[in-house]
Amino acid sequence: MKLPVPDEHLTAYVDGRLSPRGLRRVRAHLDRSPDADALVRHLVHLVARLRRLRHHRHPEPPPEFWPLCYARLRDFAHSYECAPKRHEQAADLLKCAGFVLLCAGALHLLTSRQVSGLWLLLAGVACYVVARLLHRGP
Amino acid sequence: MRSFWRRPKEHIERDLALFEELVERCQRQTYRVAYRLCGNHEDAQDLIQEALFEAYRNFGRFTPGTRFDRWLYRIMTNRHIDRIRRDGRLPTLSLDQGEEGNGGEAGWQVADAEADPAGQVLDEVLDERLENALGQLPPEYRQVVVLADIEELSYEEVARVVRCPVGTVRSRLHRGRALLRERLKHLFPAEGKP
Repeated sequence: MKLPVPDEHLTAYVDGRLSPRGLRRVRAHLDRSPDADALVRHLVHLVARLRRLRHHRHPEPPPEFWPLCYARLRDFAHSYECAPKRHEQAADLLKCAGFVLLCAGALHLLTSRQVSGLWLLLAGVACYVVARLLHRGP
Repeated sequence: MRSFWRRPKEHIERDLALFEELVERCQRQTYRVAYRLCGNHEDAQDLIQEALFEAYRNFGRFTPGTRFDRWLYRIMTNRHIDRIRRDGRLPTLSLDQGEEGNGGEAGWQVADAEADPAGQVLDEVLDERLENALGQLPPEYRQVVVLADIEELSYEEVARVVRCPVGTVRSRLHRGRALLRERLKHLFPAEGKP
């Protein structure tokens, strides 16, 4: 049977989530439709039983679960913090590249006194800056 | 290659202590939700462990002052869906299925257990059947039913946890309840007005 108001509105009605207009509409519909009325009654009882689960059935883990869980978490945290992350690895590579560029630039400037040495120095500094930013993490 | 800017150990310990304190505050309800999402203790424990690792990795993204339990639920529900996809274990529950082997005489109403020991036993049986049926719901429906109906989160909170619009929460909740109702309707004939 096709209902004039969507079934979802009946769920919203049970949860008290309808606007005053929606509420009036659903109430009028319930007066007319015994099927919808029965559905609402079922839903009310179902929700009551589901809520009861929270208060009457408490699944508990074995007593050793949480201490073990925290111990594993601590191990994980330390290994995670100590393991190099991708952005840190990239930053370390950039730092190496920056160091090489700085040395090459300085050498170039000292020996040939050409402007290209300055560019190499600038590229080295840029590598250091980017590495520094990368180290702060994503 | 060793990083020059590795976090000092005391910072790690401080974050870890804070993280553990936040988890401890909500560990009971976290276990409850995990258990109801998974339907058994082993999977629930694995799910919690995985979710805690992921939560720790992303602890920097947690906004202080907001509900940590909700944030953890969000990670847990994501992990739960990932695990189901990975393991290919999708529960099936159709509207045509019925609960086998029952007389269909019980009522939806919650019995006054203290006054009626038989009612208490009946309630236990009904709760168990309900939990079994809940465990067979498709995961996306189960998540919203567990969060909205059992944990009593608002639609908006559920929407934030499962990352979908409020309208989707409402329709999933409706569909999940409809599946449960159909599954158990001959156990619980409708009685009384809301």
